[in-house]
Amino acid sequence: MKGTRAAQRYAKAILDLAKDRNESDAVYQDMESISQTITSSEELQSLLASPVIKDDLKRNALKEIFKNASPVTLGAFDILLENNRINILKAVAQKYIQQYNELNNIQVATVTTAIPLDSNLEGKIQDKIREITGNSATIKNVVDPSIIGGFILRIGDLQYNASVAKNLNNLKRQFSNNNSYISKI
Amino acid sequence: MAEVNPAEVSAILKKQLSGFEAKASLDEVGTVLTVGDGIARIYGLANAQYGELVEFEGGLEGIVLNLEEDNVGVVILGPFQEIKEGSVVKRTERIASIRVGEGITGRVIDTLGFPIDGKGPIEGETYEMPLERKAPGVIYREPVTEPLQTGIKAIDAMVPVGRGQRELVIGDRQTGKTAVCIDTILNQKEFYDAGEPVFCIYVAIGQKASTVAGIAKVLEDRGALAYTTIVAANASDPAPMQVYAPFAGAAIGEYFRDTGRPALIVYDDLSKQAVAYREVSLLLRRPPGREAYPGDVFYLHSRLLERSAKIINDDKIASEMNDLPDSIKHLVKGGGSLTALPLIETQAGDVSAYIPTNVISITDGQIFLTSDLFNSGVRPAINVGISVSRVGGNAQIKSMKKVAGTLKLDQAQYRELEAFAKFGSDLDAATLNVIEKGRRNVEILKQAENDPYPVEDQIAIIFAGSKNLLRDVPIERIREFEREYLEYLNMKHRDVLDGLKAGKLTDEITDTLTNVAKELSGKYKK
Repeated sequence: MKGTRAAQRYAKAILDLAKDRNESDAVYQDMESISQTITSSEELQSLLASPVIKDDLKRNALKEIFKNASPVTLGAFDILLENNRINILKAVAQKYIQQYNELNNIQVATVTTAIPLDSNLEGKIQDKIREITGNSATIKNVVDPSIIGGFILRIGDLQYNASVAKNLNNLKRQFSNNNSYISKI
Repeated sequence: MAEVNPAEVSAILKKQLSGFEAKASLDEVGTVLTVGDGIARIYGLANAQYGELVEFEGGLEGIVLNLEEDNVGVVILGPFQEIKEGSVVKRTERIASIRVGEGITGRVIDTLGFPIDGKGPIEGETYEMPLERKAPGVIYREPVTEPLQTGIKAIDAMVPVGRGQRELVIGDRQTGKTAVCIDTILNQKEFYDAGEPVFCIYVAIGQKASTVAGIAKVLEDRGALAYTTIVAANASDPAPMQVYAPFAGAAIGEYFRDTGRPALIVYDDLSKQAVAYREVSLLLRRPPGREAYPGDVFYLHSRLLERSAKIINDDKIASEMNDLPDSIKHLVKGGGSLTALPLIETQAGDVSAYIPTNVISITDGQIFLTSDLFNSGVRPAINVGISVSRVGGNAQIKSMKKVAGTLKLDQAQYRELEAFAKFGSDLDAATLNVIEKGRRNVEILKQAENDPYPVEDQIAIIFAGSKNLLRDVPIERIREFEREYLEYLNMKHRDVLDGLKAGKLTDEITDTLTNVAKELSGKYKK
């Protein structure tokens, strides 16, 4: 990931400042919205990445889009622009979210399922998470019909894969291993 | 393809299906950031260890080679085109290894141990042997004392190789490096037939697939494939496969070594492996050093060649050897050996380039092949003046040691005086004598490709040469004389040859040899 290390340092500085001013929750909201907005808007991405567009224009655009942001966030825009690092804004936002979660002991678990989770299933998955990590976590549900059935649970670097697609794949691999009757995957 | 019986198909499928268990697994994972040229950078995998095997989606595997602050560099073992940015990578908590068993002889396999000769899976029980393994420590070793017969007169007489030795074969392209090694493998047939096989491993790195196929064919035709394994990472395979091919070969060799049997491994060639390693290292952004090779290219070769060893002939001590894989712990026996013949290709005879000097300093001697000799018809083109064997002398059988003792000196003298040879009759008798003897010895040491000599025949003919019994035979008829002499001895004096083979050189034996040589050489007198 481009500029991950720099992003980590900016995020740490922003978090430290936000903590001092008791604004870390507000900045967290800002960062969430920044991350989402940049991901969803291709125009904004190319605006920030473009070396041709003047810094002032970028600054005005950002302050217009995120006009309700806290002063710490707005200051972050300035410092990133000044240091020619505005292109890593999204990475900074993501790192901030990560560090904020770590600081407040919040775990985010991504659950991929073929159909949206209902509350009953969510409870069962919460149990599974507690079994794996010993703590509860906020669940983020991603719907992906290509896994056919079951679920994939991802918490940080851990993945619990109980999907039908994975088992089918394993079966296919077992069959095709040293088996001239079935072509290789 | 043979006709398929439908019942057979469903039987196989049923068998495989019955062993299948649908299960979920908890894995440590990371995400692919970038992928290209056989290298992937992974975000996550926080606990991955150096050298660990990781698994990509779809079953492709990779080896962790770089652990950085925010990512992990992985070399991919296989076609990397199917890996995409963002795909998930799993830790396997295993280190890269291949499965070795008795069934691996006679097969052609790739770096990961999968057969590529179309003869089906490796048969029999197999054991997991790690690719990277520490060499045996000092107390588990023994000095080199047993000879490894190469079947090449010039080598067995003057640069002898012992079991457990590492002897470098170095020379320009097209000087017969591979031929020397293939002949050595062919010569082990004698021991295979006698029930004491020296298991051979031929590692082909970055060669044309057609060349490898040709070598497999030669070995098969001569009955040598039965005790030989070919590990092939061809020119079209990704660089990481070429880097690890010698390690796979060494793992196979270690299986035989640690189960108390002698093995011979040929790395053909290590300069190509170094080039592949340079490619991988540069892609991993390791800083380039001399000739753009990474700083640890010396360690790459030293740790590989250090695995060749003669293991102590004591089962109890051997069973406590360091870093033994669990899978073969119950099979360990002492007295095994792994002999290595690494090959290095030089550019225009330049041995002071980086990789040649490195490997020369690691090995226990080198066999030098030069294109000048090759072109002037001296084949094998071994330059005996600069070829050495640092430990092999102790491994020569007694009779050979006695007979060949003066040969190297004689030839050195001959080369010094050779320049004067063109003055012809102006030379004194002593000088002329040295030159004439030297020329005949050069002729004796010539040998056709794929024609290894049994050690007793070698001793007999070198005896005749070094005792100057051939002075009456014209140089162009030496080959003819040699054939007749050896045929005669094999027919009439088999006991003498057997004595030589057993290491004896009694007066009786020398008398017989002298008489036969004198008698036959009379026929050739002009």
